[in-house]
Amino acid sequence: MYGDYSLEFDRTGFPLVRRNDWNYSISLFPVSKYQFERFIVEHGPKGELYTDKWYRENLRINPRRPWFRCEERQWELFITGLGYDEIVPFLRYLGSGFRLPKEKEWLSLLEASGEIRKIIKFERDCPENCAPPVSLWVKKGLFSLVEEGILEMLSESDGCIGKPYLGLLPNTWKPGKIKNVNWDICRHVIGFRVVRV
Amino acid sequence: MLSGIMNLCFDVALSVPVVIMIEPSEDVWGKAYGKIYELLEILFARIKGIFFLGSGTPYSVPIPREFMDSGPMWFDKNRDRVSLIGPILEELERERFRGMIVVFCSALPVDVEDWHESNLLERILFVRTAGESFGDRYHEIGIDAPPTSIMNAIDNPVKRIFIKGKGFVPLLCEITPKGKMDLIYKDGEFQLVPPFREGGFRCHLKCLCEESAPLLYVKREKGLCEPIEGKDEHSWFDEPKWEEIPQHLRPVIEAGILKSEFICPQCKRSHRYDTFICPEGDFILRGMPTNTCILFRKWGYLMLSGFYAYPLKEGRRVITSEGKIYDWKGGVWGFVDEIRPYGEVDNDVWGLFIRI
Repeated sequence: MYGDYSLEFDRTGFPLVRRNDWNYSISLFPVSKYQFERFIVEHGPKGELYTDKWYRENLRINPRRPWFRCEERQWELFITGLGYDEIVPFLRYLGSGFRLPKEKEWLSLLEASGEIRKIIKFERDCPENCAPPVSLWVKKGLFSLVEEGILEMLSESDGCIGKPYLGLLPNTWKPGKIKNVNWDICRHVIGFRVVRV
Repeated sequence: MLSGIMNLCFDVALSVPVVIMIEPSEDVWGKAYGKIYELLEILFARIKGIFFLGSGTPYSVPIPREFMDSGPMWFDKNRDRVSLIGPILEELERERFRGMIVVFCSALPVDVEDWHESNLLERILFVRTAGESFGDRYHEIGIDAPPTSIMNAIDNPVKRIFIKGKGFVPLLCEITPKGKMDLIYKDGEFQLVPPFREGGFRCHLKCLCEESAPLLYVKREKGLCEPIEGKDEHSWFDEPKWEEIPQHLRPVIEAGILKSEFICPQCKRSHRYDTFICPEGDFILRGMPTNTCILFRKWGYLMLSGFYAYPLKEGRRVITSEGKIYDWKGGVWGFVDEIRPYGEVDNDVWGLFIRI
């Protein structure tokens, strides 16, 4: 427990945060490439999806970055450019109750993010089931990336939410406002996080 | 305070296990299939498993033929997987795999940079099936290289091997095949160094240590030092047997303990206690062992030639077969002195080292 907040870990070892008065948990980071690759390994290719060719194509729009080099170009740590059909098998792999966040859930995280940043520290008890990047990213304060990070997909909305890093896409957007962006132009900026209900 | 005496057995195989990984693309498979079979024929006893990049499933090859027969089926199951090496390396790390890794691929795995700061990278040999060099950071060889060149490239000879631990002092040790372990004392600790660098050996060890058992470390040319745990066993060694001091030598020994004179059993004249050769030419303590440390207690003696060290003062002191005395103080073994003639080393225990 971290004050009013608790953490749980998905099967890839990445954390979801829940406040006492929320009836869902929401991931502390957008879904990372490290995390998505765990799914790819377990799931394997399906037709042309999740093949080596498919993944290398995806990495061309937002190159991969070693997870321990998290001090710059952080957006390269997170998976972007996936269509909803490519995301659904990942959500199923995580388990029942996982889906994309609704606008309201995402906004609650945005509202709580300052408090979460102050309160969540792993120095004393880095959980055993947490993936190697998580403890480093938390230590470096690289969460929850709602105020600045990447654009994120939502359920029940065609638009995206969030504010991309300036180095990724120069902008003056307000993070909590839904944007209807051109997918073909912006897909390299668009990732997602998950909610578990 | 030392926790006491432990009896351990180390079984050590020094051959280097090998893991083979294959990029599961049609192109690589076509070029690598035959080459891997050739390699297996040379290496098969050392192969720990075969993996396809992007899958954590290991395939075992008890005989090379297994790969020839089942390999195409394994490939079909893994065809077109994403070339991810991380999940396999993580599993190997969990298992503390210390061997070498051969990766057949046309391009570097997409996540290889995650391992740039890991010591595992220097134990990976990429066998490149196409294209340009992967760069200086990687050990690589072309697919056209003969299997013996691949063998040489994954050689990882032992540079050092030793047993050590907190408070460790070897007392007795037997090694198979026969050989002599060297005892090294440096900076307040003891290390026992086996004489082998390849093959394998078994070592039965009786030792003193503090809290945790000592470990056997293998440092190879590439990779970190590998710690190997010994298994607890019932004592492999008989209890040390104190021999009886011959009747006619007892006055000589007694004079030694009292630092007085004695009547020589050879010339019947009086000598100082530390006279070992009679002026008339004979060794006075004839019948007693020489060139090793001997301990005395009331009419009994113990020869330390078979020991590396012998514990005294409830394990807070040891004396080596060379007659060197060390005390356990402040968490280290401190050298105290060389044994002096009939020096008291413990309560009612005296020592002697006669060099002839």
